[in-house]
Amino acid sequence: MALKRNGIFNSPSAAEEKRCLLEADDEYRINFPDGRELKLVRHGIELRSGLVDELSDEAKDITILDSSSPLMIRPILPRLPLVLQSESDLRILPDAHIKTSVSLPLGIALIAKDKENPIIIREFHPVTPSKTWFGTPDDGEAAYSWKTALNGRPLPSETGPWEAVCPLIVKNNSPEILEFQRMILRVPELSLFTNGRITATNSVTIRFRGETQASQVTFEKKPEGITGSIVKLAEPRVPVDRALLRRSFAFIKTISMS
Amino acid sequence: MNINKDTIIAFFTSETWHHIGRAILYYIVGIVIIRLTAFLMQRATAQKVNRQSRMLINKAITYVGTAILLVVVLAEVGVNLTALLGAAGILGLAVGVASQKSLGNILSGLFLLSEKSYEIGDVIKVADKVGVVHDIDLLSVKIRTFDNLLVRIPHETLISTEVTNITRFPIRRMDFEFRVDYSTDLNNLETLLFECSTENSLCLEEPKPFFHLNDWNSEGIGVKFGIWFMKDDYIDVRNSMFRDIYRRLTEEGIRLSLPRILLDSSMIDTNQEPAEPDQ
Repeated sequence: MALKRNGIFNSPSAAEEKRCLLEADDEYRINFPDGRELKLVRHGIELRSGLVDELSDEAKDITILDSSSPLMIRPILPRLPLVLQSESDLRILPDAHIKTSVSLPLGIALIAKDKENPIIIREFHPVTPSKTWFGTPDDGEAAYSWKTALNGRPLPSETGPWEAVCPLIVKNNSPEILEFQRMILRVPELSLFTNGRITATNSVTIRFRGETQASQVTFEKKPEGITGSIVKLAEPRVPVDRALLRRSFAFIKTISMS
Repeated sequence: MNINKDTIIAFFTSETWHHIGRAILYYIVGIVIIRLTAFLMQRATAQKVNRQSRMLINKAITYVGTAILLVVVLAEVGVNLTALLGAAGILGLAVGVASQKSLGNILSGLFLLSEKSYEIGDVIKVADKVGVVHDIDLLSVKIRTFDNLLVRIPHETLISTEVTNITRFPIRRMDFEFRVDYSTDLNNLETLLFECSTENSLCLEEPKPFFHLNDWNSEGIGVKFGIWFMKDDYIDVRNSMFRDIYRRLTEEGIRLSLPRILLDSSMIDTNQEPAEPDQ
């Protein structure tokens, strides 16, 4: 049985929802954009999963399942935050703000015991961005580097199968000009939604309060600006506080090394 | 000796035996309470504090609890605590004089703990020994080396020696130093080294890698290339980057410089008769 990738991610109806369930003796093959193929085979309590190559058609990784637990195929955001770098020089004047949408890479996850206590068994990401560090060498967090156009891009009418968008507002609440260099977007704290055409995360608002101040980060409950019937596809990877003061911006002088 | 039944009963029902029985009971209950308290503290702090602090809390509960329990048990069996403490003071003084080294170690240990230079789980380097801090005791620190040996280092040695904490910070820099031939296009070399780092998923994009021309001498041009990585990826980064750099240098035809001696053939007089060997 072949499973279309779009069917997994943009599937709000109950019938489509069932297609994401990996039942006994199901075999799914999912094509990655780079031509690789992911094979998922469930025989009773045994799940074989893995990328298959030209030489071998066998998925080598084996997981023993609890026979009663449902096994879901779900879209998943990267496991680390993304450090956004603007493709163009961007500055935001005091009291001004930018409303944009950021394109995020999506992967696929095999999840057992969905809803109550979901366990991510395995995850596969067609695109793994390069790793970076956000902060100073003695204090910071690991992240992925992600170049994006932060130029007021409106929400697209449709997203690709391996893409989600994050509605983002950056407000400059400081008396100084925000010379945008790097900003961290903590994607593990975002949920995923779909209306059948667009896969989007909940909206994020970041209020810049000065270079030396922590920014206020607010996670909305849903994606704003998306119409139609919206269904939640995935919960955040980590527990979320809706509004927090956090370091969100980095400037070259604070991260350069001698 | 004439021991009758009444004497035995009188012996076992005497006041002394009541005290001994109670002391044993106090001891057992006390031990259970101390262990339970230590266990509950471990559980309560498991998510909030690091292994080092948990170990210190555990030891503090055990030592203080045992001391209090001993006092209670001895008081119950009728030992005069004032006299005992007096004797303990004299004994302590005698022991202290006799074991100055140990006291020095204890004090050094306290200073080191307050410095927080390392904690359990850190990889430290002391002289030529490198290993993971396995345990911190009253007198010494025990490190487990990477070939799985346990090395005991007294606190006094640590306080007077240079200690390098290799894993204190979450990211580290790894430098690759080598020499290239004078015919090397240095711009090309810099580009390919940066490409190696970009293509390696374990190298951090920021802090940015750096390229440094160290020096030049008779053996070639000295180059240093540094990349940043997450501390846990040390072995993988070292091996993969080593391979990548070597492969790219080979592909680009860049020769690593080797020690060499240049012989100028024009300086050799070919008409000269070879010297007669000594008889």
